[in-house]
Amino acid sequence: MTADAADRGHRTVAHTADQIVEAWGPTREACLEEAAMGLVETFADPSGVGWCDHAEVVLTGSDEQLLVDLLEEIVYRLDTDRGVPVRVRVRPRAEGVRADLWLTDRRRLGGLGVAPKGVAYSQLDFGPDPVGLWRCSVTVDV
Amino acid sequence: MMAVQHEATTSQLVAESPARWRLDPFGAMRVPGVVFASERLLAALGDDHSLAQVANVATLPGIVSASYAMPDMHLGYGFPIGGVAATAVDAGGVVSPGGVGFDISCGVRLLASPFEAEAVRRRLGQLMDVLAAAVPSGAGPGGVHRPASEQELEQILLEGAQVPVAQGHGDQRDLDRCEDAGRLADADPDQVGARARERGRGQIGSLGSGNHFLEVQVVEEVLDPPVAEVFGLHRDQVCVMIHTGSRGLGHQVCSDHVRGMRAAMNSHGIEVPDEQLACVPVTSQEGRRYLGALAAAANFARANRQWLADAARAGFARVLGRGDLPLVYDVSHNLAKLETHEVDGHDVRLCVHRKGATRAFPPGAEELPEDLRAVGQPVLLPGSMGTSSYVLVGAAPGDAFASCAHGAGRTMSRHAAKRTGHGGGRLRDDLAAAGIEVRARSLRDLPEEAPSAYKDVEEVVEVCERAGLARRVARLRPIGVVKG
Repeated sequence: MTADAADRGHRTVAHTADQIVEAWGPTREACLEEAAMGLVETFADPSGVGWCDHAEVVLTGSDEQLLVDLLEEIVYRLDTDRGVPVRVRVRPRAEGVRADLWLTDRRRLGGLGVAPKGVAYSQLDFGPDPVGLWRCSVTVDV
Repeated sequence: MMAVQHEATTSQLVAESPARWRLDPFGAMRVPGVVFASERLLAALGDDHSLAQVANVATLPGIVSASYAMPDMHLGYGFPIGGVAATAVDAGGVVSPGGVGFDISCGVRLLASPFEAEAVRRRLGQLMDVLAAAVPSGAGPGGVHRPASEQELEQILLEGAQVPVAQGHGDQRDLDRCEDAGRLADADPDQVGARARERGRGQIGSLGSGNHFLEVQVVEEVLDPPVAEVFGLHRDQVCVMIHTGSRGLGHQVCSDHVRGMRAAMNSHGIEVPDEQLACVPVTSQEGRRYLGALAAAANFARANRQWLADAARAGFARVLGRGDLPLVYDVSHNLAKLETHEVDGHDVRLCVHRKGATRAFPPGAEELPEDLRAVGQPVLLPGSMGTSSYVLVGAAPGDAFASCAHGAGRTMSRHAAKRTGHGGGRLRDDLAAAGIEVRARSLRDLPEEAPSAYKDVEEVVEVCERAGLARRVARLRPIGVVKG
């Protein structure tokens, strides 16, 4: 589990064959940032690794779609050698969000674990809890 | 649009035989569920919710007979892994990417070698080093073949394993002994998006990661000598088994089309109890597009396994002086296909979804190549790393639209497997002490595939046989593993 502030963080949870990423944060955008880094940490340890490239991604759609699309962007980049995020910032736009990805080369991350290959809609949850903390749970196919 | 999800427990199952259990319809189920299992395998399911997924699948429009689950069933997305469902194409039956899975046409290929175990054992370490270096694995791009042009990738999507064979990376038997002769007709590359192509372009001839592997195995026991002879197998023979699929290309096709179908379901008035069961009528525009993309991704998977087989042959030739490893069979276990089966006494055109389930045509099936038709289709059932794998043959009359299990089936999460194991180095050493050379890129994740994380393959195979899905032909034990 990682938490860079008391009210935000992410972790992976057991799934029979795959991985479940859980994340939480004070805003939708903070929760998306945590989910993105939660996904990265299922296959790599980005701590202490500097970035060497930057990408900006604009996402639109329902909250759930934003989550799926952000995570699929990371899967796509891993598969096509377009960098692995070591830091993610998500900001709201009039429609959807803009995500800034600070990327490193996968070869700088040492031995990578089992690669994520897709994001499932099954058992996908994303939204504010009763006290207003945004939470998500998403299953990643590996 | 979401309908209510079902809850189901094993206490609702009615034993029809010691290997076949019925879940009577409740809620929105249109047909019963049928689970092929022993009491022990049912107990191993615990509370993993896969039985609820069997019930959810039974709600799909046009489903016929039953929502089936194979003995290696475990939790999937939408469908359980080990799920089989057929819908009537001409009666509004649907196709669902969730019934195929992310890794379209993931499957198993078995090559026979001219070597006996003893001849290989003397040089096993060197052979495994060479194979591990020759077979790309793990995260990211990397494959033994890079298409020379966009046209070549297009050709692979249209023609599958025929492309590498035409380029000299295989022979006619490789096509004769591959499901669909290595090429699914009706592929529509236009339905394979730019990102899918981009992911696939750099991964042709690669294993990937997770539970994918290349194993060097020895035929330890022949249980049906006449059939084994037809398949090209004999006792003490060294074989190579390859397990992989359509890599990032297939995953992206699944993701893209699930998204499109979620948007289209409303216009077809379809509600499903799980978002990953998104589906549309087979005959709708979206349905035809998906089936066209599915066939293209399946062709990519067959070409992928063909190039890997070529790399394995080159490795054998380099270390042992001979690379003639004829194909025993190549069969998918993640696919939806249009097939005709008898339903209530009538031949019906069906869309048969097999997700983590292997087609198992019985003797006489017209689709089988001439040399296999009299005995039936080979069914390849890999065990977990370090345990036996089986070659079976489709049995008559069969069940579940001629389907069988596809492996041992996980029983423990990746987390739990890592927690309970002794670390990758210890596992590798334990396997080495048992005569199995493992080559893995990362020892960190090796325990995720530890044998203890899977069901007992012997029990799975036993249930397949008792349920009349397939019969045992040969048992193979691994002596070398290249982990994906």
